[in-house]
Amino acid sequence: MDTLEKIRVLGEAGKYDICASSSSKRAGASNGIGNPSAPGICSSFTPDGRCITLFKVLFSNSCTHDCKYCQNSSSCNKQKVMFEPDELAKAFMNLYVKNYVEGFFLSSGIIKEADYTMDLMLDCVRLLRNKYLYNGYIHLKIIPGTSRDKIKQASELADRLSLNLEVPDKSSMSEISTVKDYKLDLLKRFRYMKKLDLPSGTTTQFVVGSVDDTDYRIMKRVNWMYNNMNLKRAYFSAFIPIKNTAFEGKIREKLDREHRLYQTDFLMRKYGVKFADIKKIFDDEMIPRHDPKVLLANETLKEPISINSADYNSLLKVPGIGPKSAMKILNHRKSAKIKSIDALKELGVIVKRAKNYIEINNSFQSKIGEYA
Amino acid sequence: MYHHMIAYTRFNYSNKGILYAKIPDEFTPSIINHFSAKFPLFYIMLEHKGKTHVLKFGEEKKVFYKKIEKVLKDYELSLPDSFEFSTNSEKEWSLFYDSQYIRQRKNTKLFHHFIPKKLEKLGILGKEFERAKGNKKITDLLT
Repeated sequence: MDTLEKIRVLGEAGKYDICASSSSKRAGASNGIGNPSAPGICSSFTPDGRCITLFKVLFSNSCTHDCKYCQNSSSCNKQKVMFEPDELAKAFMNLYVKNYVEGFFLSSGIIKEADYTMDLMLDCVRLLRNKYLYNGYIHLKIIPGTSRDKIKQASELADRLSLNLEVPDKSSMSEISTVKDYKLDLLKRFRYMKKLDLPSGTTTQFVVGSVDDTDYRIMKRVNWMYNNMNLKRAYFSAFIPIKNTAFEGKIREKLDREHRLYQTDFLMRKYGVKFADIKKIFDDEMIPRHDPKVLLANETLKEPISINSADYNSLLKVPGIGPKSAMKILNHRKSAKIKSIDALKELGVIVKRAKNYIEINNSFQSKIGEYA
Repeated sequence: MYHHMIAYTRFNYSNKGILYAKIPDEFTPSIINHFSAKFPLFYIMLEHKGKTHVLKFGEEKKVFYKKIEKVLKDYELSLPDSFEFSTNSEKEWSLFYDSQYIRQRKNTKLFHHFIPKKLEKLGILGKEFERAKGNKKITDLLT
């Protein structure tokens, strides 16, 4: 099989992995090719609205594991394909220098065993760094069960490492795989990773709805990962049944659920909301079909927040006020009081969302028109 | 526009270490700085309407009032060989691009949100969007 055909097959095999656009605090070098520090550049978009930033492929679609949702599972009957390390490095560099992609994402099915697969992936990444002088962004997947030594080697070459948990706990894992050990193959590897100095940190991904996990259990695990494993962020992927897999007949998960999980995760990660507060929004362990920030505000803001005296954390609780606009409000208050809704709009507040939770000059927002 | 241009500019490569492209939109001088910092080993050449800008990281920018092909030829004569990359990028990219689409998640609203019509008119977005549209007009896809 030629390289082009491998790109087609192994690109398709890796399309369900999620990664963000490249950004890394690692400084670029003037004697190489590429630059890891330009975040947010999307080189293209697919018709599902997702951006293509990284050259995202699997090293091989051959896998010893039997994950029931996965198209690369050992139980699936498919054509087995594998890159040669230099072949893949060349194919990526060809697209990178011509500015089709902004970085490299490499994952793989498990060939023989974890360390053997990781070695092949590392060979490819070493070629990129040493032979092709590639200095750009690399996101490398850690294969479940990889040894501490290989993880350390990976951390010296990549900007970001990730390992997919897929489900929130051991009992759910037993429903999707007979091989993967949740504690030994996954959590233990995160323990190794958390001690490493990675420019872009570590991430994980959950397949939402492949088994009967609740949002509560997923977010509880995510919170635990943030607190104990130094996780940078979590990704969520609504389960889609794939032909020829054991879960082919299962019902597809709604994208709305994935969206709510991202919103809730955002509250914890960017707004600093504690999980103890997040717990208040769950209804029968699921996030209701409303914006979690509004649900949280309804639960926690019994009184309107005074725009002119509230602290940063209180302002952040208001729907329509984000970290940037909260900072702008604080800065504005240093020189003058906020006296009108228009002034709030200018500071970036989405007044339509915020109006039910704020008061200006001791007047409640129900009289909002009076401020204009 | 700057952001779009640095994302959607596609280069050709000369194995003398030159990345070159024609820019269909009004030339934004700052994008050449972005690319020369990103690819410090290579010369960057950008042409807009017969005016060719050349920059290598750490050197002074030069402007030639002639077509890129001519400037490229002049530079190629004086430069040593550099890396060799495949000339099959367009095919490689199209196969990769097609492989990433998850049909069950089709979201034309979001797709539309991210594709400025201006870029499509300018032809910057290239053939991948033609494929994404299934060779339909974008208006057909979005209705």
